[in-house]
Amino acid sequence: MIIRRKTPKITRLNLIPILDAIFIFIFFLLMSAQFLDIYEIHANTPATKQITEKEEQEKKPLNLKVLISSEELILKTGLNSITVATFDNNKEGLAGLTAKLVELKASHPNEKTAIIVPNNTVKYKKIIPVIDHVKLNKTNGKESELFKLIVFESN
Amino acid sequence: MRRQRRKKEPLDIDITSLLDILVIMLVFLLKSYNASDLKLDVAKGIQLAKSQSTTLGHHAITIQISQKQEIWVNHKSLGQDINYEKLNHELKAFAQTEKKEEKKAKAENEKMINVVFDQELAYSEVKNVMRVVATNGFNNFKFIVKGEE
Repeated sequence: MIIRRKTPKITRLNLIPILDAIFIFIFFLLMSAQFLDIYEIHANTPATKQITEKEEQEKKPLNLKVLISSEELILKTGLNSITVATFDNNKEGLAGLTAKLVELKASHPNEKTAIIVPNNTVKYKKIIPVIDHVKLNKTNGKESELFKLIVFESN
Repeated sequence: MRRQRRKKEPLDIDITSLLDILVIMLVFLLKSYNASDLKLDVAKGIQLAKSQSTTLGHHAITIQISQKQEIWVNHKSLGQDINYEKLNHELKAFAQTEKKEEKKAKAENEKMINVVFDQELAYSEVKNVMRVVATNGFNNFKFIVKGEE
């Protein structure tokens, strides 16, 4: 006598609750999706402060200024705006600027402000990378804060 | 003779492929998830400057200026050739409504403004716009930029 084997019924997973959850997820994610990576850079208009002679003698402010022209970047410090370094306005120049700013930050750890002085003819796209390099040092995959407060000064 | 009807089995739809698609969609949507409260439609003709910044934007009045010097304040076009008088008028109106509504107890000098400039604009135009904006009490500039890939 041949015994007929019953074929075992395949038990299926009930995926409907997972599907429901995924649908709700997709709805919320679609609402909050932004396909263009948009970020912001914070900057202020210049605020003025008169420094008395006594204050000047007590602690000399760094008064860091970065002058931007289409060709070069000039780094100035001090109340008399003495030129510290000059760099070409290109990738290599920006790397040099960061290196110099790291030095300045090491000698003035409490300073957080940098004054940006672009030339009238400089294009906006040339200003943004300079601000990036003044704010943050991103070398060897490490990040360190430099001068996070950016103030614009018109020349 | 009476025919016996077969009991109908419930229809079983195979949803595996649908689930595959949904999971792939979920991954892409999670990648493009943005926690920022800034919802910005960049105006036609504006190329954003690239930046290393990773600070998320915030909701505020938005000024956009294209390379052809067309200006928008909160998506309202103020025409071409950067009409500073119109811009000044528009910002004054915004400043007054903010005062009336007293949405947030912010100090006057903490007023925030998002500025979207075309990357090819010269600093002379950027500077003039910033000056008009600042004279209306908006000193807290947020330059909107595109993240570097």
